[in-house]
Amino acid sequence: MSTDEFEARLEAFRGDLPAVRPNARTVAAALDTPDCRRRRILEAASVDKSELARHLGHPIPAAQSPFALRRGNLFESAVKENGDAHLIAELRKQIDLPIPATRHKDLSSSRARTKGLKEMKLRAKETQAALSLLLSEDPYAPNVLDHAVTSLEVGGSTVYLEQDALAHYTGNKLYVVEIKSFPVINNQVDPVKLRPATRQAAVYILSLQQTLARMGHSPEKVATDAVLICPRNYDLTPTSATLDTRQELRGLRRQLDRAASVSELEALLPQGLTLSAADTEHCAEAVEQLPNAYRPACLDSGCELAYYCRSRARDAGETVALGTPVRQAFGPVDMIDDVLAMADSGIAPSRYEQDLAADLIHMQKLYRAAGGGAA
Amino acid sequence: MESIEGLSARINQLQNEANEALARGDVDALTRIREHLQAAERQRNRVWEEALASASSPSPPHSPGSRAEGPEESLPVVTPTTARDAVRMALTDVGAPLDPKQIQLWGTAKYRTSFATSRAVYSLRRDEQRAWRQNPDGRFFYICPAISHDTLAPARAALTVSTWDDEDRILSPYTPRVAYLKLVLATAAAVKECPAAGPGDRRQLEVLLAKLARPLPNLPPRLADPAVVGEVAESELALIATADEDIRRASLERLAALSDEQRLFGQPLKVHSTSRRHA
Amino acid sequence: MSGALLTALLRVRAAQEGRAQRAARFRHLHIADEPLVVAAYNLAGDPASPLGIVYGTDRERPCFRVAPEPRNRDIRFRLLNTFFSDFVAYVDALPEGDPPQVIAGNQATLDYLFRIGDSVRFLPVGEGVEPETVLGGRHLVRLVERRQRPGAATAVALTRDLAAHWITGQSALEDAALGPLLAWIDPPEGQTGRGAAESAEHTGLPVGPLPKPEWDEKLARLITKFNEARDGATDPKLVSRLGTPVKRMVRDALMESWDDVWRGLDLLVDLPEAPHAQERWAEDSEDWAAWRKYIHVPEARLARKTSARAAVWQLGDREQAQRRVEAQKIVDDPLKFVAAVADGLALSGLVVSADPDRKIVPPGRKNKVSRPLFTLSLERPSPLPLHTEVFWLDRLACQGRIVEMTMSPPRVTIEIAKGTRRTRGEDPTFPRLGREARFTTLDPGQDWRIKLPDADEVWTHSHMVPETQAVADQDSDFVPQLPDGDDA
Repeated sequence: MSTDEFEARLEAFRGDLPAVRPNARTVAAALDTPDCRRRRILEAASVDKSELARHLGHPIPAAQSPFALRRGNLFESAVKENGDAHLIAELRKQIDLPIPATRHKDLSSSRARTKGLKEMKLRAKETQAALSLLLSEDPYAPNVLDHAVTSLEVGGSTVYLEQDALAHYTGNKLYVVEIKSFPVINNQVDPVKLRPATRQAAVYILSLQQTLARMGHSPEKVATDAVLICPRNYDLTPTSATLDTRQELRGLRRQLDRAASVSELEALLPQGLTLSAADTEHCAEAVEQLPNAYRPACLDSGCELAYYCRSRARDAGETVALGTPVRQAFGPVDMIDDVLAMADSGIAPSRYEQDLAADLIHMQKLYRAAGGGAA
Repeated sequence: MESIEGLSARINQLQNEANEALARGDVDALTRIREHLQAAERQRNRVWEEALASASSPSPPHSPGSRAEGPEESLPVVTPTTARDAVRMALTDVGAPLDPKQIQLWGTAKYRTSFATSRAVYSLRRDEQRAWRQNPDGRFFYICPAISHDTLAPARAALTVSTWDDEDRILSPYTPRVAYLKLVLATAAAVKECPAAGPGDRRQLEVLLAKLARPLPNLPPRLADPAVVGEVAESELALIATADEDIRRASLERLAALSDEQRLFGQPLKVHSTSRRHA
Repeated sequence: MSGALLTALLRVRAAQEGRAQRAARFRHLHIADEPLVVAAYNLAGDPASPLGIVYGTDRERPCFRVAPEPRNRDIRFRLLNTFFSDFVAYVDALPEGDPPQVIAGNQATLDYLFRIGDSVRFLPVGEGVEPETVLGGRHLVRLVERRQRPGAATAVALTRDLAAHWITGQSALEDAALGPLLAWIDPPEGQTGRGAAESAEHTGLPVGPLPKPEWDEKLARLITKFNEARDGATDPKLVSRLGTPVKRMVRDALMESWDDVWRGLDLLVDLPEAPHAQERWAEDSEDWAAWRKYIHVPEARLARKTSARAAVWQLGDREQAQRRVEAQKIVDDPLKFVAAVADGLALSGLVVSADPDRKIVPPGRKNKVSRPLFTLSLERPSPLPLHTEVFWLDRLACQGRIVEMTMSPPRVTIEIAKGTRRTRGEDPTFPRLGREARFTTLDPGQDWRIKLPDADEVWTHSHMVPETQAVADQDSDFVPQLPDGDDA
């Protein structure tokens, strides 16, 4: 089946559910759970998963607070105000951007000012034109590109990504700039925030490399260090750091390669399967035909179906719902009832679990003798 | 170009007219006269600078639009009364295309005006072009968008004044940076000129200068020393001003070929028509 | 992590029974007579912009302070000054020798309190910053920092301690939320742990410091109205009057948190205290006394960040402390002992042969040394291999090695090499024939008492750095939005 045919099939699968456009964050997160085919197919079909979750009766709460959003916008505008003054200042610090190299181009909307996917494609074209000029080392070519759009091939479909900024100067590499509003306090960044930012930067870098390759330029021209701009301490004064994304890039490339190819996804998508907004039961049945891989970490992974999948796992009595360490403690025995049967009787389902069963029943005996039990 | 004597005579006459207009409270006339006066002063200042430069003594940083040095009676500071007037004054003070936020910052610091909301400034653009269409000569000036050097389309967030030379209303890739540096210089000059009396005035300008200067290299944070800041801004400006002008000048011919309306308000872009519906 | 197999089984059991299972019979955390309970909400996105704080030592008398617009410096500092003034008063009122104890609902709240303290502790006094705020900030940072040391109890994150005493039928990740955790340990009448926990997730509010985004949406509208109404003014009476709707909303949410934290505290207090918990608290007291003395020296210097040398020292100290706490818990608590046995970290058996006076000449030495020998009869073959070093739980100083073992009948023979001398005028005790003896492999550390760091090593680093605008205002409400669809 050709890519186009498969894309049509995915669109049919999406049914009357609204579509959603992926961004670097969702791409990075999706690649984080490569073993969940359910997620991959739904995202390949651009299904609005939060709408789907709502239809399935397990809505996910809104992800971002309006205050956080606003602070993010305020910080970004602070970095970009006065003709990118702070952005340029940080670039001078991080990549030695020379003083005369402050030619600026705003790619935040195409000349045609259309909307939706059409707009993204146009902006991607205009970005390529700007990149072409820039890499030709034209002395007047803009070398700081705001809101450039690059593309990335993920599992057979093209994702358009909007970058915060790209920067370059003659004889040097092309840098991805990421603007984030989590702070650097006393020279330390919350590692919980840093890792996703590094992953996102890697996605942007990969996308830029692919775009360059498509234009006939060497992807080596893209620096693997991204410039991160974020607030210093407790106010909105920008500071910056470089993020070494080589490790993330390697991981991403591996995951992209491993990511279910068109044929693999094709095999998993039953013929004629569609999602329907109206009928919850039908929707659930359809979703259940796509194999998943729930574990509690899904709740933190940004997948909007996490509560739905959790509910199914809990209903079914799967030990994995209690956490990966619990799942792994009992070998192949993966259901709550079976584990307790083993612990209560000392009888193992197979000879490989005999030692485990003996340990469990003994441990339970000691536990009860020592005064253990329900709260 | 006029001779320096002609310029001086014209300046004197304009100053007299301005005083008269002030005396009878004719704000519109005063506004118009001031416009001409400043243009003439700018010309005269350029002549002075060239003379000084060729005498190889460094000329002091002189931001366009600032008050002429000399023994002439200086006019009292005029405070803008309307939003559009405030925008015009800010743009003229700095002498480069500015975005609405920069205009608001300057206006608040220098003239203590508070623009009601950004809306007022944004809606200006639409209103101005409409007004021009109805009657091009109806106003002494119009607030216009800056014109992109390559597409000749109106720029998104940069404003200019219709009375400026074509060249000054064009936006090159360098212009946003140039405009920022000129804003820094204008602020530094305003700090220097501001009388120490009047507690709030100078302080506001110093705060603005410190804020604007923050991203400039090799400066201690929270610095509001106009001489130091001015020097840094000036030296960077010197490196890029020529290239900026060259690019802008290169578009003059194409701009002049447009209609009057498009020359002022930019050439509208053709909308791409495609048959494919977006996803 | 010790107790893994037992924990796994208990989770499964709890899921089936619909109720958490006990993981401890004793409380391994000392609770002060009058601890300071604190709950706070932060404005999302900002590192340290407190919306409201509720605090107090008496459940019936919560102190609630709100900043209806915490991004405004004046309003924010009014809250901070009041809070820290009360906080310093609480600290100063403690009896001699008693360290403060701050009880928060979760680790995130403690981290948040740390940031709040950090954001003010180097500020110069004046310009709206009270001296108690700076001092209180330093105390708060010190208290929360100390928590990084295993066994320290001066700052408590209830979720962590509750989860150490009860095992729920959900995952460890889900245990980090106080509401659902309490629902499993103490579900309402007629409800299962799962049902109560899901309900808490759905309708309840987080204990802090971040509220839910939907709650923030509502709050954002109230704050916008508040800002429009006050129009830049920060007069306290005006702020108080106009800020009432915000205050009500924040207070209602924080009162839920307040109730939850006390509820969790009640559950812990109900357990009898483990002996070593009291001992560790004594160490906390000593550490605090040293800090008090230090901080009041005028030239006291504070590190903004731990130096590399201090970090290495701290890491080593922490690892040792962790092992020691684990060993002490096993000594104190039969359920913890069972968990250790299941993980192969301990064993227990009947002493069937005892030779406490045995003396031998070790290879390579000339003189006889004391090497008591004991053989234990076990229920199952020893999980600990030959030559493992073990510690006797009744007296952790008594340390030896497994020198012989048999599978059937399951037995081990242990030769004691340390802790055989008279100490403090007393003869050493040993496992007795016919009695049960318990041993663990967890090394409780050579020294009982924590080595107090040299003041120079940890705290002295650089001069205090004044930062006048460490906590600064947001920019004005002006957010440039480029207009859409401008006609060309």
